[in-house]
Amino acid sequence: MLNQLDLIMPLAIVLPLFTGILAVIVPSRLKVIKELIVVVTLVSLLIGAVGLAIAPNQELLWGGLRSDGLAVFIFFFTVFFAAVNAIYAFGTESEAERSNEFFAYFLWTIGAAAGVIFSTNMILFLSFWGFLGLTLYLMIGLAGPSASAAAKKTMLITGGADAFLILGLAMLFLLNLPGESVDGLAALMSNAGSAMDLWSQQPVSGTYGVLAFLLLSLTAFSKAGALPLHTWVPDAGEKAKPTTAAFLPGSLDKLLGIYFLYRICTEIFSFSASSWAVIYLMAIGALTIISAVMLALVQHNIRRLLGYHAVSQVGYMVLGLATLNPIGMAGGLFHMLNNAIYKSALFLCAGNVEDAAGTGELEKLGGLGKLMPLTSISMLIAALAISGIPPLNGFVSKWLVYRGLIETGEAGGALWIIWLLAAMFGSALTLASFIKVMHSVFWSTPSTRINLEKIREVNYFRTLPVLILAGICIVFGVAYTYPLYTFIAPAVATLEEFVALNLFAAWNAAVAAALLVLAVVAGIFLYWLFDSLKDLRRVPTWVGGSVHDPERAYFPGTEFYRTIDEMPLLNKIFSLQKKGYFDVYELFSGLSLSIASYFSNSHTGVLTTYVTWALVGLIIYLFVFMGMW
Amino acid sequence: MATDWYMYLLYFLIFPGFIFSLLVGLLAVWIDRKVTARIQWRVGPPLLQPVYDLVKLIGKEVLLPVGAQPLVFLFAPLVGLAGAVLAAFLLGSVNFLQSSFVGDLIVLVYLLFLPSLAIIIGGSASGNPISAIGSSREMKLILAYELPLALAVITVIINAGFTLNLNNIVAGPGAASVSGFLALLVTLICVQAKLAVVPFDIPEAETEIMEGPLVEYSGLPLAIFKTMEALLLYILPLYVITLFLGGLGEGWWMLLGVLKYVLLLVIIILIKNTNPRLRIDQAVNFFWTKVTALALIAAGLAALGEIYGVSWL
Repeated sequence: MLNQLDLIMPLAIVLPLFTGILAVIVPSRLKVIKELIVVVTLVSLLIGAVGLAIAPNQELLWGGLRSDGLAVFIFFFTVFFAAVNAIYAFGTESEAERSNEFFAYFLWTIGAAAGVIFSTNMILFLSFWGFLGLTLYLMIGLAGPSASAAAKKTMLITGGADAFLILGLAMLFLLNLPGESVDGLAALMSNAGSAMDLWSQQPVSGTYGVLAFLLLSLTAFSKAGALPLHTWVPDAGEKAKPTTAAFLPGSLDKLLGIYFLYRICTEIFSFSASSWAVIYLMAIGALTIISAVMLALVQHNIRRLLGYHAVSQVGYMVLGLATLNPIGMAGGLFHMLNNAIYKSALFLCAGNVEDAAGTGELEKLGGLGKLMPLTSISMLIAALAISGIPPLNGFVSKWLVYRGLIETGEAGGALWIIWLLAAMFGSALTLASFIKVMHSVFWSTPSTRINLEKIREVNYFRTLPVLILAGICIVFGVAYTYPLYTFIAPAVATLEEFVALNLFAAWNAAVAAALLVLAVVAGIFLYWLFDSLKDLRRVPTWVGGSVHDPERAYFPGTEFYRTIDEMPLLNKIFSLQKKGYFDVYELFSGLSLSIASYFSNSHTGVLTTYVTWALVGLIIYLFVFMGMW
Repeated sequence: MATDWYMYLLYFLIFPGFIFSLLVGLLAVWIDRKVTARIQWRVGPPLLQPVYDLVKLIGKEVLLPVGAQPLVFLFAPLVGLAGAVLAAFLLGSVNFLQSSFVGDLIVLVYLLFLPSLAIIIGGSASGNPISAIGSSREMKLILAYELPLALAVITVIINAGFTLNLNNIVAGPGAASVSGFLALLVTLICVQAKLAVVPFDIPEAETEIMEGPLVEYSGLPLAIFKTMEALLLYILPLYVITLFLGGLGEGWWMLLGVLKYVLLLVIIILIKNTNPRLRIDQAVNFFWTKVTALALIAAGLAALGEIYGVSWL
């Protein structure tokens, strides 16, 4: 039975891929047409998402495409973040030199993302996943020659992870085959269709089960940016264009990576809360939180710092999902959404600052708050949200993750204490590094290292998206039950089960927020009552009686945590990190180069050598195949 | 059970919220100054001195340093005070009304961040390098004590039977076990740092960086910050009492509760008056090694006690 709703899933994939081609063809002078293509695509996708939400549970192409509540939720927010970033891009990219390419890659990314979200057939999933890696590479590369190293690194890491994905899926395929059928080719072919199904709930035991689980989870980690395959995120965050950084490592890759991890934990594999897999996931999550945020603390470039936070926050999502209880999983998924919201806001704000001041180096900035009020307010809200300050959205999702972890503790064991401690301490470290950012960029002594007189607030195309995102940080923090019950709870438990948890009684965010606002308003009233704000007297900065020379006497945010960098054990770790000892990419590129140099010895340029090699290879090949058949 | 909005307002503004905690806080400031004076063989101020000080500050002119970010500079004290009042309201409703309207233990721990955060932000936005030094020290101090403090909170959660509800925690065993007692010790040390008093008055260090983040504040905003600090002198001992000492109690038992509070306050004041100030790196080192080790032992013992069913651990 085919109805119109059935067309939404395939269209959601094909439409952006097609309009992306249109965006390439359109002459680059016709700015309006390009923007119109993007707008029309996004609006139709949004309508499609709403249509899917009406009848979420669908199956198409013999189970090749499936949608459920969670998939629709992820798709909806993919389109939402695309729309927010599109507004920003209209203010920045439309005029840029390679804008056609930008919009084409942008739309292709959305189409491939829809493919990843909806496909449950291994081949389909693999193709879309691989294509996403390609568009990621291309989009990072758009920022010009300075980004080419970052783009290459991203390509190699995500491409390497794709190899893991292929291997993992192959093992999963073998596991899916019914017991005896491996013998005959015909039997294999007849079962191949159903064995290609991703959602097969395999146990994580046996060689293939364990290996497939590890490989697939590593793929998800590489996309979301968790340890150990995270190192492309800070590089891409720093070097790519702000829109790319906000859209890909900032929001979409988090959504997709964590979505895949969620499927791994529920539909693709199935394991109990006492499985080794839970400890493995939790350890990765806790390690990701702490190590990435410690690195963020010592960064000097604003977007690189944000990149490390983009890694660190993934730890909370992994911890939440690994609890396997409804409240923790809801927390993990909610954190995924919240993180995408404030992280794209932060990346876009950083883009605004870079654009206005011409640099993203924290040492050079300072005192921009007055000059860029909208950007600074949005960035403050997003920074407080990511640090988990109540009553903002980041607090709610962290709180749910903590509650989930405590619930796993109730079942026994002591390891949860370490995971919970990592999460709570990570939150304080996050706050610390954002205090550093806000101080360095907006609050500190006005900088004499750049020309502040030229700095103005950026145009509305660039402030509107960050204001929207900051607004959502507040709304989702105060009225958190709305997104939680509408989008997330149905994915992890029945709504009744979730409502029975009675979360609102445990954190009455609306009352708390109302009282906080009331107190602040009362304070403003006090200021007014005592005429404190009427013609405030401006006085020179007091530095102990001498004249303050802002050129020489200032305290940059980069010096804030010098004490901590210099602590005995930490300084060794930081210096090893700077040399690349903890970067899988650096380690393996060194290894592969040394192997390659060994093999390059065989490149003598003499024809007979090559022929000999080819012959030896052929003989081995034949032997292997003769032996097999 | 829904509480009417005007009841929230009454609770928040008068009892056990703003007015009540302000009075207790001012009284605590007076006790602090009086005890300090007696230790130093001085007479000390009259009872109403903290009130006079506040009134004087409110009457004074508000100055704005040239390098400051005016909006953030003037708003930071308000947010800090609002957070402190909300925390006082939450703790007060647990202790006096046997109900927790707005949140659980984790909410409380995070609300207690707000006052310190306000001081950091205010100091940073004043554009003064000395304030910035103070702000950075305050933030490092938070990092330092957050680790053991979180472990102490986890110990309390385990001992109270994996509940986050503050009313259940008040009724829980508190410090009446080895792990609970160790966690109490850890929390007391952390409270000293949270109040930023000697030996952890590193962010304000009057003789060194002239009250750090507050150096540029004057008039009403300074009065608001001073009010917030007075409130903290009420909130943090109450936090310890709620988590570890069985709360303030009901009826006549409340007299005992008041005694607990005064005792804790005097302990804080005595530590403050008999110690030198640490350097920030010493403080971070102290918290991340010795205090955290103690807190880890506490949490480990609590977990062991839970697993093997030994209640005294």
